[in-house]
Amino acid sequence: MKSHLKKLKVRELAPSQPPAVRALAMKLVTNCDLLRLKVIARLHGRSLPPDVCWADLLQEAFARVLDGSRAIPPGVPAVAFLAGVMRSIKAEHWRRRRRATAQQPVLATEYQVVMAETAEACDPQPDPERWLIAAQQLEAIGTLFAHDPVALQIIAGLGDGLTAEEIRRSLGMSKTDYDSARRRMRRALIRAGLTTGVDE
Amino acid sequence: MSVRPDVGLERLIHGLELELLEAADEEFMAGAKDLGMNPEMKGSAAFIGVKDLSPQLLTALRLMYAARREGEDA
Repeated sequence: MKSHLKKLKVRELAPSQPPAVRALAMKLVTNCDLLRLKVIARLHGRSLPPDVCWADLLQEAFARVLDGSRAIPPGVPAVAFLAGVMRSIKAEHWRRRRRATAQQPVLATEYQVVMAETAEACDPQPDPERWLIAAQQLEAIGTLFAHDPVALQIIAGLGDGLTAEEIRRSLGMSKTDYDSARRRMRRALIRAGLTTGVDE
Repeated sequence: MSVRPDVGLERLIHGLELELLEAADEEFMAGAKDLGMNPEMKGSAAFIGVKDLSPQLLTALRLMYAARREGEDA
């Protein structure tokens, strides 16, 4: 009898719905917020370790907010907060990965030889796998905007850490032209973020 | 891009994320409709991966609950 009760308790704890659906039911987010977060998660998914997918990242972010381990500060929009949680979970995954890689001294040593010539002083120990994934994904994002030379220039500016205003000034664009390019970029990102499935 | 790929990609993602946070709701609805999806419909393909559990997450949850059940049975 005692054992039966324990099993029931476990079954009750098992989630019957994904955290995102529970958040929707609790009115923490709207259907449109879910679309926005999906596109953002897909974007972060481009720089995740290969064993983690964007849907896991998204659901984990919701789960942490729902279980109270990440509380939304007053005045912060839920969507912006969840995007930040995804960013932080992604960093955790890479840290975990780095700890595992640190146990492979031969690979790490070989990589340091390559890195010595090109690495920035601010980040002494980049991850070789992350480097490769990033190079592939930068190429993929470039392909996404291949038809739009202005968008490609904006992307290069964002990658260099420039603000929107700095990019606009460096390109010598009017605010109207710049906003129009940003709208085209958002349209392409939204299409890409909503088109693909879970495993991609 | 004048920085290492991993640094550049993270900066780029952050910049694009800000763009997406600023975008109007209508842009997402229009994007879905352009793809032939109707987010207002129950079971819309626009929510694949959002309103269902991914195979990876399902596996992780199954393992977690199996471990918990074993712990309680022990």
